[in-house]
Amino acid sequence: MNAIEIKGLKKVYDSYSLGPVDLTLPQGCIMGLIGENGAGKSTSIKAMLGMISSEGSIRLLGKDIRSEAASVKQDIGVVPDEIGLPEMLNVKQVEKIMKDTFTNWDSAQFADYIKRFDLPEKKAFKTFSKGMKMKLGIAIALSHHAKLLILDEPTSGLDPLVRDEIVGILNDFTRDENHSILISSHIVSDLEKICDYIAFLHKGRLMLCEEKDRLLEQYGILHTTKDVLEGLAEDAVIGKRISEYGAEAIVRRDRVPASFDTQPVTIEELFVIMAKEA
Amino acid sequence: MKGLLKKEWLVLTHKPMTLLVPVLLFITMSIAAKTFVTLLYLPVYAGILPVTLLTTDENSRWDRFALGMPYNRKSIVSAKYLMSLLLIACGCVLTTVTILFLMKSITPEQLLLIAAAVSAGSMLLASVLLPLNLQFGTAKARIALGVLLAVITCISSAAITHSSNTESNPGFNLFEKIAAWNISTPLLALLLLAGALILTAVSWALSVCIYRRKQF
Repeated sequence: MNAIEIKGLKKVYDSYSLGPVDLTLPQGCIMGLIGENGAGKSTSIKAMLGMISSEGSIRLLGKDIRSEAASVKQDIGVVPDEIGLPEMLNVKQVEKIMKDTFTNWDSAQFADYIKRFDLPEKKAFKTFSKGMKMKLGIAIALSHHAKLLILDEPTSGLDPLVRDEIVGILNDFTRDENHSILISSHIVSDLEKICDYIAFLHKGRLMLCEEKDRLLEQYGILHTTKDVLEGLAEDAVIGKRISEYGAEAIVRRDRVPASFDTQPVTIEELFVIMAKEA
Repeated sequence: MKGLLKKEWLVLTHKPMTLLVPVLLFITMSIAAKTFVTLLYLPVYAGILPVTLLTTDENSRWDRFALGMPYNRKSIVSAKYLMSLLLIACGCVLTTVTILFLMKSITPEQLLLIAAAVSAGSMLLASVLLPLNLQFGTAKARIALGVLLAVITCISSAAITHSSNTESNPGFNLFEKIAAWNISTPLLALLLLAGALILTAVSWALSVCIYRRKQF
């Protein structure tokens, strides 16, 4: 079963449109949704969760999100970019609400996360830092035995230490082979560490959705001269940067001669070049 | 739904004194002045409290967060109406008990009519405020409410003036006409309550429609 199955997702606003987006995340995998600010990452996630109206078919954990929203969300942990808890509530009160919200709520697990994240139990939510708020959101998402986590920019605006901690928590979550994650971010380096699949969104268009390892195998960086680059087949070069000192290009490894010394490419380099060439 | 109601209750009662002081103040004022007019604050207070819950939701972006949890839009709206009815019931009981304490000679029928009128008024207020706030947001809803009240005042004033035949007693004939219907007090109380409940149901259905169209 696929954790996420999206076909022909479209959303049209006055000045912006998303899609059509086709995206599949197999169960047990982590997909990173990458894109610049305004690329459509949050819009895609909102559509997946039924927060905005949209066209196309959206199935999460095998269920249609529009007709079975409430039941499918029992098995989904959602961490939005802003944790929308009333600011006067404290952790204990939040737990009381969640206990009556999720049928599989695990108080012991929640208490463990609160301890692990070092979150104060009796302080009001408004006194929490951005990192603490995000950790509380993650603790809620992980304390009801969710099978799918959907996180919208969870590391945005956080310091590297907290970001690293969050990436570690997500890694732990996927040790269970039935657990899947969809995580959006414009901080590509965070996603590169944990993702099995990468989806590139740019200006509302899904540019590619591919296994990360295959992407890294398929593409490479070639440092050469402008003349050599011009001699390559047109479809071999994905994107290039030419300066007076030489040329740098992201190429399809199978379309350049084997004698060429192509270096490994990072997802960030690939994304930047593809976005610029689009 | 239980989680939503619990959240409303926790938000409402996080500072219990802020909630209770106005209630106690107006009850004390009514008892001291030996009048039940100031008590009318209680149903009004109960009717507008759900709006403060909506304001908290708006500020914290709770709605978007709640839609990531196993709640549908209908249950989010229904929780607001249930909490609203609970508050109105509390306001009505407090008002009725205080009136009973103030006016020992009041007949059960009169008391029933007052309780029904108080509840109906409170429900009317909540039924107007909730859809307005859900449609326009809490800031713009204040302006919309002002416009609505002005329209209602103009229409009712015109209706009363039109029904009067004496300039010195505007509206006198309207009340006389109502009295001429010869409706018994319990029936009038029942009609008031039934009308208010129907209005609340219509308002709830309207709010669900409004909320279903909202984009987060």
